[in-house]
Formats: sequence, C-alpha cells, structure tokens
Amino acid sequence: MLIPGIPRLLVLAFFLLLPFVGNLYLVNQFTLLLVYGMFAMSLSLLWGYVGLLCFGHAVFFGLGAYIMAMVTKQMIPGMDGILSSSLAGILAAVGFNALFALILGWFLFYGRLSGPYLGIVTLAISVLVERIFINWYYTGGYNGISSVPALSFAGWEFSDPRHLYLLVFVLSLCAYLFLRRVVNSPFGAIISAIKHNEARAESFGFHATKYKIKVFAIGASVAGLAGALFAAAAEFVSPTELGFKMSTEVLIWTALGGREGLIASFMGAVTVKLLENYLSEALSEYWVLIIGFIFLLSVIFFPQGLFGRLLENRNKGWSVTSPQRSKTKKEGRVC
Amino acid sequence: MLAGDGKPKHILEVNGLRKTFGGLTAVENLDLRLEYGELRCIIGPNGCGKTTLFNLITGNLKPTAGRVIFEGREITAWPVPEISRLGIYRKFQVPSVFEGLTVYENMRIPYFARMKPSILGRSSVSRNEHQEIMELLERVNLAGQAGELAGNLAHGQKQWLEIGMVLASRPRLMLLDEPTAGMTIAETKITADLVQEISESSNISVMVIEHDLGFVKEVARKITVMYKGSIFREGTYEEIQADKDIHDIYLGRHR
Repeated sequence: MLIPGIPRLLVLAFFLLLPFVGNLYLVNQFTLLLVYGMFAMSLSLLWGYVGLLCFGHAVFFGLGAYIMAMVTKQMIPGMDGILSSSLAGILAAVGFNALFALILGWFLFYGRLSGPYLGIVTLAISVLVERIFINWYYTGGYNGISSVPALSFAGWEFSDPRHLYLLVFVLSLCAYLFLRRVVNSPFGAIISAIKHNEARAESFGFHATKYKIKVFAIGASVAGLAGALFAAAAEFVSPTELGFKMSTEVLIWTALGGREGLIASFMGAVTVKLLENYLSEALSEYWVLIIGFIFLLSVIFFPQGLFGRLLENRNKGWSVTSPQRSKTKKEGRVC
Repeated sequence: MLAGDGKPKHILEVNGLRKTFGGLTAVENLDLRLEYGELRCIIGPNGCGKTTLFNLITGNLKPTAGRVIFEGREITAWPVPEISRLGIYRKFQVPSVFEGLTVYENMRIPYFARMKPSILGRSSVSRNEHQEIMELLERVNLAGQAGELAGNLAHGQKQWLEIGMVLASRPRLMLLDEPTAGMTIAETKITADLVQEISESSNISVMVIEHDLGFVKEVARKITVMYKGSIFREGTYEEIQADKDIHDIYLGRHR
C-alpha cells in the first residue's frame, strides 16, 4: 500500500507549482477549479461526514457570489468605502450564509427532515431561490451581475491571474485545513456518531439537531466563501450559480471524487470540471453522457469515489490519541 | 416521597404511566419504584410493554398519561439528551453501536459528552480517560478488538460494547434491554457476572429486561413481571417461579 500522505502531497505540490509552469489560460482555468473544489469540500462535510444529503447546496454558493458582487459593486445601499471592499464582500458572504443556514437549518432539522425528504426540500429551496434571482430586476435578472471587480486587499489588487490563483490557492488550503480540523475535533467525532446512529448518539446526551444545524452553517459558510471567490475570479454571477443545475453538479463532483473525504471531493470537482472543459469542446453536448456514464460506473464500482481510497486515510488524525492507540490500530485493522 | 435526609428514597419512580398507540394500549396504569443501587429484572411475554416502558423513561416516547420521577425530579417527556445527561443511560434492544467507527472510537463518544465539544480542538481523550477506556474494554472482553470496526463485531460483542459505552457514560441508572439476546450460554454467563459485578461494585442502579431465565435467576434479587402493559407481579425469583399465574401468562392461558 502507498504511504498515506504521499498522494495528498502530490496534489498539494501540483496546485502549488501550477502557476509557475502553466500558461495564463491554464492558470485562469485552475483558479475556478480551486473554487469549485472548495465548494465540493463544503458539501463533503455535510453529506460525507454527517450524512445530510443537501440537494440545494448551490444556494449557498450562489448567494455568496451574489453578495460578493453586490457588495463590491456598491449595490447595497449604505455600504460604500471600506464596506464595499473585497474583504467586506467575503465577510458578508460568509456571515450571511452562516446566519441563513442557521435559520434554514433550524426549520429543516427541527422539522425532523432527513434522508430523501431533506433532499427534496433543499432542492425545492434551490429552485425557489433561482427563480427569485431570475426575476429580480435589481440583480440583473437572468443575466446576473457582470463586471464584478477583481479582488483587492488594502490597495493591493489581484489583477495578475497568477497572484489571484495563489490567493485562491491559499484560501482553499485554509478552507481545507479548517474543515479537516472540524472533522477531526471532538465535534467532528460527535457528528460522525450522529451520522452512524442518531438515536444512539442522542441517548448519550447529544442534541443531534443542534449539531446538524451547526455543521450545516459551517458547510454553508465555506460554500459562501467559495461563491464569493467565484464572483471575483469569474467577474460575473448569474442565477445558474445558485440553482438546480449547480446543486446537482456539486453532488456529482462530490460523489465521484469520494464524499467521505475532503480532498477526494475536491479532486472530484477538479476532475469533472476539467473533463467538462475538454470534452465539451470535442463532443459538444455529448460530454454529459460520458460524465453520466462515468458517474454510474463509479457508483457501482467505486462507492467510495474515484479518489476515496487513494487520498483519504481515515485512521490518520481521526482517531490516533496515544501511542498505545496507534499500535492497536495497526494490529486490528485490515485495510 | 422523601427519606429523612431529604434525599428521595427511590432513584426512579413511575406513577400511573400510560401509553397508547392509536387504539392499542401498550402501557396501562403502571407504577414502579426502584431503590438506589437496586438490580431489577423485568420479564414478561412478548408485547407486554417492557421496551415501551424503557422508551417512556428515557424520553424516546412521550407518555399519554402518568409521571416519571428520577431522583425526586419529574422528567416526564423530557428530550432524550436531557434525560441522558441526568445519568440514565440505556442499552437498546437491537445492539446500537456506531458501526462505522472502531471499538475504541465508539468508547470515546461518551467522554466527548462530558467535555465542551470544541470545533477546533483535537479529538483526543486525556491519558486518564484513555486508561479508563482500556480498563472498560478489558471488563467487557473487547480489549483485543479496540481497533476493529464495531460493525465487524459479533452480535454478542456488540452487546458488550454497548454496555461498555453505557458504563463509560458513568450512569446513575442503567437500563439494559435484553443484554444477552443472541449470546451463547457461556457468553450469557459472562454477561450475568458482569451485570452483577457492576451492580455490586458501584452504586449504579440497574434495570434489565431479559427473557433468559438463567440470567434472571443469577442476577436478580427482585423481579417485576409485566403483562398487558401493567405490572403483574413483583417478587423474588423463587416467588415468581412458584407462581402458577405467571406460567399461564407465558403460555397464553391466563384469563
């Protein structure tokens, strides 16, 4: 078997070196791939680690993007000057999403929704929000908002694609480290217990609903961050970003990559989007068929996803608590 | 019902408990008192409401009428986690462990219930707690399986693991629903010894639902027989054994 950390290091090295070797087209392309990857990781937290099948996750991505666009284009009355900076946009996107998810989660999870029902309701919310933005004249309706300003912090503008890439890379890395910290924390152990047996977890004194709402808010915030970066990097946002199609796509990325792993989900997004970029050129609409076929095969033959085994080492960080512990691990577990 | 020192005499008191599901009455006018440190077995034919009684005590079901009082405090229809945190922990009838986690990870979960579960902290238990987990695993014969996925354990081992997790929760009252189901005779004996040892070596009060009369004979000083949702008899094993009516209800001949 491979040494556990190596594939992950290779992924890291690849994305770190890319701007120094790739041409500008590639760098631009990969900036968006990083953003999609971050988005997929946030879904992986909800779906893979807590078992919340959220079918409308793009709502958070799209709202993050819209908020970023509206803040930095000074479309929100009363928010100008420092309040219309990129940082303000990002904070607003993350903060609003956290709040929105807390409220939405309160209704969803105290409404005892789970499994397919949760999927259906979140799907409906996604379609609903998409309709609102399509019909909302102020945000450009179907065309959305274009000419979103590039990212700039304290007067330093990220207009060079390579700089922008590196910034998004660092933020993606931070998002990954943050999410990894969360799933490896006691909080993460409890949500995993809730995923595996909710009734049992409640009988040990955990309010499953409260944990679900919290984790929902964390996932939504990270999706909001990804959305905000998307708006700035793509320089536009449209209702597509928060609707049904995007919600489905992110599910496919995550499932294909391996929903129970953060990097696996990330790589799922990168892989599918890359394939899309090249196959849609060569095959126009038929690439969707290919993706669908790959997806089917992966569900049947790789239920853990294409990268689930390669990139994730569940033992690591998950459970090692003491020297004795890691010893029993090695003896006890057949991989 | 307070004793002289102001401490309630009974750790658990159930008064006039009633639970109906539509037209079906599962528990009817049930009164029960459990003393501190007592080890009580509850027996009765299938469908007589034993598990429903547990569900009503732990809050998994809300009673139609009646009251549940734990250590002098009314806890009727409290949310499940709140009742657990008072110290009532149960082993479910179907062994309920976290199958996707290892045995050791399962054992850690109750410890996280006692700390403020930080979102960014490391998910580790202290050295003492680690020691405690290993001792508990020793007690439930799973020390060698610490790294095994709980889902891979045999049925009986899952039962032990769940008992271990309940013990790790430091219960004041332990509810065991058919702890020996699916066990061999030898395993049943080990479990009976374990339950007895728990009851004798600590001040944990224990209520056990059990069908295995060998087990009941071994552990219980007092037995409650339930029938059609109510208490039918209470007494020692010998009294229960000698009671002709009880034989009849088990054979379906009563009334």
